[in-house]
Amino acid sequence: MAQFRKQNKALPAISTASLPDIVFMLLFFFMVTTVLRETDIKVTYSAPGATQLEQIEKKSVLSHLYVGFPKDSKLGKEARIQANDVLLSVPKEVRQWVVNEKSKLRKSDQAEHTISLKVDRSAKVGIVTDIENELREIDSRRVIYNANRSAGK
Amino acid sequence: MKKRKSEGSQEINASSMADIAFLLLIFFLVTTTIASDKGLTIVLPPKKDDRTKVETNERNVYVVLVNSRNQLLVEGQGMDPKDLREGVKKFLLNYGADKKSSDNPRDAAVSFKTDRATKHSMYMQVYDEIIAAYNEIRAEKLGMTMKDYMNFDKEKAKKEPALIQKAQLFAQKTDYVDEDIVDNYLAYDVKTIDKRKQKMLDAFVKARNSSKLLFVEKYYDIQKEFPKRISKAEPTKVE
Repeated sequence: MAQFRKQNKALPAISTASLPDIVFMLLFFFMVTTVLRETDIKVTYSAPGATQLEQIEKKSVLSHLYVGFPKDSKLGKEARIQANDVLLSVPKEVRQWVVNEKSKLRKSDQAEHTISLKVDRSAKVGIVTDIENELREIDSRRVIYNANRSAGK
Repeated sequence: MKKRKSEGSQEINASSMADIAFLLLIFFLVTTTIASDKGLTIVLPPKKDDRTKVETNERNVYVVLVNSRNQLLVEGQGMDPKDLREGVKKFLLNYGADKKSSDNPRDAAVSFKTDRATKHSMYMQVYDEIIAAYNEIRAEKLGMTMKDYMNFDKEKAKKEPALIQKAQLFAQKTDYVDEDIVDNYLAYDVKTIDKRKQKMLDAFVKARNSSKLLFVEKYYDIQKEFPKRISKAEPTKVE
């Protein structure tokens, strides 16, 4: 009996020696997967849901345009377009931006240049159409509407 | 005496290591945004003035309208977005059975028109359902599940040796040689090739059809049989 009691008292502390290793492992995972945001998003963006998602394999051919309502209330309540870190005042400015973005790509990739439209789910179709018309004008017609996977039926 | 004390090899205290690591970990946890570049792809129509009027029979066009209050109108009747997929599938697979519906999937087109004030989420939902109808038909014809169809890796499949061999043969017979023979071979359509090559091609097509079709070829053939003809009309006022 005495022996048993003694053992209970001397319960060894759980070794935390491996804790740093575990944490480091997690740390490396996040360091590798992190993409630091290059631009600051000035408009609201919550992606709509869809089921038939496709992915563009070459990330480099994508140029992102954000469409949403300005986070800064001084800028009004109308939906705005953001290219890189500038809010565009008229949809026509999209042209110059796309031409610029396209020229940054390698010659062989230019035909595949795709505009990724990140449109807030509550934005209206009208502003998106304005962008699309500009894209058609400069013959840059590949577009992907960003979306999150939704459960579907 | 003092010297001796400092000489005694001391272990570096590593207990703060975990804290430092945690700090870094939390920093990266907070800043991480796992970027998703997935979405619905679309190729926009050419410039307005280039557009030629396409003569299509009215029954070959499935008219989908959405108004500013996000209500769906399909072929003149109100519809729940959930029923749209079945509606499009039924329309495409009609093959002239119903005189008011499509003749065949190659000629059939879905016209999708919204109001300027329609919400983007609604637009996406409807567009998604239309694409889903096409994908479901294609997957069914290929005997695949929807999930397999969506995950099918075209690029990988194109590297199949048997396919490359066939493509080379095709290139020889037709002197239709370009940089990517496999792509050309798969995309080849009798209609687009000039008549000079027609005879050679006919013989080749016969041979091709008689042999057992490779799966990848079948995949592309199905895509040609059920082309995604979704016309996106300019938004106007939709009542």
